[in-house]
Amino acid sequence: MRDLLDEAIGASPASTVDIDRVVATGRRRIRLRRLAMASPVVPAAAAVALAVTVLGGSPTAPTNPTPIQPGAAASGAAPVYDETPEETQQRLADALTDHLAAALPGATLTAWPSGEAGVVITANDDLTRYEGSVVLTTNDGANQLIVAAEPGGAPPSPTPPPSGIAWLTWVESCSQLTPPVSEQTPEGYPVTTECEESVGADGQTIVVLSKICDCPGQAVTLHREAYVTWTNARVVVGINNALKSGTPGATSLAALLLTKEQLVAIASDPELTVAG
Amino acid sequence: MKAHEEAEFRQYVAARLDRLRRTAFLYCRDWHTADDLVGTTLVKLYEHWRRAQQAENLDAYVHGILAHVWLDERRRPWRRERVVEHLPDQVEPATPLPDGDLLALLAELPPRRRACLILRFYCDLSVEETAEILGISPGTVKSQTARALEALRGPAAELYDMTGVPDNA
Repeated sequence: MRDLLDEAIGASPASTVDIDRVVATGRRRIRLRRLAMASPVVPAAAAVALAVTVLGGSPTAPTNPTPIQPGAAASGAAPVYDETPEETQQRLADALTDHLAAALPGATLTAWPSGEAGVVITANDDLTRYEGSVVLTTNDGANQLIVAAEPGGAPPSPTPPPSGIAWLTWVESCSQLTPPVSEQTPEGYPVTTECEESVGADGQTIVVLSKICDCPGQAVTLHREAYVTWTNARVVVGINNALKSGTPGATSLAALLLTKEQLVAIASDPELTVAG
Repeated sequence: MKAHEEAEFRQYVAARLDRLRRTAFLYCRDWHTADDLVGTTLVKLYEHWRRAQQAENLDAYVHGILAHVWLDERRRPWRRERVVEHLPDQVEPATPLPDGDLLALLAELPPRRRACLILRFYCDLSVEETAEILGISPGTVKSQTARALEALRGPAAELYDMTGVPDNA
């Protein structure tokens, strides 16, 4: 009977089922469900968000989870979410995954150093730092991206991050930088640091550092970090081009896989904060 | 959902997508609607992926979602009307069912009877699995399936002969 039915159906036309859209919609619905369970206030907001998604006809449009205490517009305060540490890790991983899927369609995401597929966010024991690192692989090459989110706004003084992934001191202002007299790649090519400051739409301070190599024949951005400081949270997202460190020609690509604007957009996303 | 779980989900979908689309087409006889049904099914599956993986028969679990998505969708008012690009100049007379057109015959069956037949003979589910999916007793599955086959017997006797009725149908 199955053969007869298959014969009656004939050949299947090309599928219009978009698995990325399925996953994005599924993620949003999981987030809404979590929010609905977390707060009695949220179901109405969740229902509205769902209705907007359906009516808007754009199932892949990003829908942020609704915080229980939203950051005041343009005041520089990040929203506060009522969630468990595991939910925070998942929220950050989902948000970062969504950004990367939008910026680099088709890229392979591999958590570093575990090698798991996708983005993995971990928290330290006292929940003062959530961080993750992911290798982005495209047809053009690979970069490594890091993210670290901490509660509490600007630290009293620029201090090195307490644990391992971020490679720079926390930067809240370009004036904090003391440019090295000379910096160079292992091959001896000169490296300059560019620093730019701005204020985000939500009042957060944004500092972007770019380390640029004057390599033979072309300028290569070795890595770039976007430091975003809220009154109650701070986030750094960095992307590293030097995947082949220790090998001749330590850079992978002439250009980073993410533009400066894309990096800043990710780092400025309130959904990547862990305000406390 | 963790990254490795999502990877497993994508792998499962990639392997089963065509079969799900064809099953959905059997329900609705329209590829666009079939893809809508499958999309909705997969979103539900994604939401409950961890629970689904614990199911004794994951394929049966997914076909259960699909069957319910179809049954739910066809109750909705907007499903009773079809959007067409151009209005016809005149009403076309109803086309009689061609003998042996299996899909047309299938479409004439009441929804749950059609679902019984598809789940049993296209999805290869057991009587018990079909009963659980449709929320009916195994005895009802057997009687619904027998009636469905009976309905197909007249116009497509050769089909029935080729199919046969399993002992537990």
